[in-house]
Amino acid sequence: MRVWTLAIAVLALLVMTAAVATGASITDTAKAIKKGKIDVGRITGMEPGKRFHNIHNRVLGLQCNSCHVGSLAPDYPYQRKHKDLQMGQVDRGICLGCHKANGPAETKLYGTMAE
Amino acid sequence: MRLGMVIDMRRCFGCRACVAACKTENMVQPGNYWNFVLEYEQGKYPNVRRIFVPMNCMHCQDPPCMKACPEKAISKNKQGVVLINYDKCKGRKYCIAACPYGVIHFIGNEKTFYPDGKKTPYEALPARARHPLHRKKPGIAEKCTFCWHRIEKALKEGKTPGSDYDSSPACIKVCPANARYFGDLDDPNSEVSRLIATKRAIQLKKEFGTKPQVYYIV
Repeated sequence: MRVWTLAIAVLALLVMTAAVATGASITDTAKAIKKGKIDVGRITGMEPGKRFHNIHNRVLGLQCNSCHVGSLAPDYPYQRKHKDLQMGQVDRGICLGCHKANGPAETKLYGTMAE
Repeated sequence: MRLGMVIDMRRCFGCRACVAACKTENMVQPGNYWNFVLEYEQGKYPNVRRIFVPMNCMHCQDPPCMKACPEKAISKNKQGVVLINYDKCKGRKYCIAACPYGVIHFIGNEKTFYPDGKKTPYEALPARARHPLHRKKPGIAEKCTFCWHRIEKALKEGKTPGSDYDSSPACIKVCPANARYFGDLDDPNSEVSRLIATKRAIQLKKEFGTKPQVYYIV
């Protein structure tokens, strides 16, 4: 059982690495994730090791400082509860690039700009 | 009906009466805010001024939080108010990540206003004595509801939302500068529609295509 689990994990890692290494487009990678061809885990959640980080960090290769404020330990990705940060000033520009209506991500979180 | 808010930034002087009113009305625990005020400076000495930007949920027409939630715990009602169902919310925080305005908060540990950890009589109210939107618990997300508990009651009584203290969100009528307005954006004769049409009213982060229902007069 353990051997199988290990084999699947290695295979998944290889597929993910291949997707990044071959420069597969974000659209293709997003589709592959959606179809389950790339294993990003089944547990939804923001914590490292769960789907969100698996997709954005492991598969797509987004760097930590794309979302996190690096100098502030341990972790203030939402920029709210730290005394040195203004509440609510959350830049989601990096999300917009892929998740806009005509963006490459499968999850279209954002709409199109109103007239 | 599409409920919305207009905030006149020219009038706001950062007193945070809206923040306090929201906290008490909605039993928001220490550290979390459904309503807060950003402030920054504009200009160069000696010609400087301080700008205050009151922030709460924008109740977007196209809310990204609703699309992001893997539990389908966020919905938008007929009046355009975006609400979180606390029974469905599993605290995945996807909504917090997706919201470009940073107005959704996560309830981690339960915190009380008394420093010794004891609950104030208000905080000690049992869940059944509270409106469903105030039955919050650790491990879920929370945000402004446009004081839906008040609006819901006003609508049942046949009142127009925004017409008086009880039929408006708590932050509206407490504003000593009359900087906040609330009403039906679909009604061209409502005060909010009139203000949007006649003043320089903007929406924040329009580039996200969320179509916020909170407007700012600048």
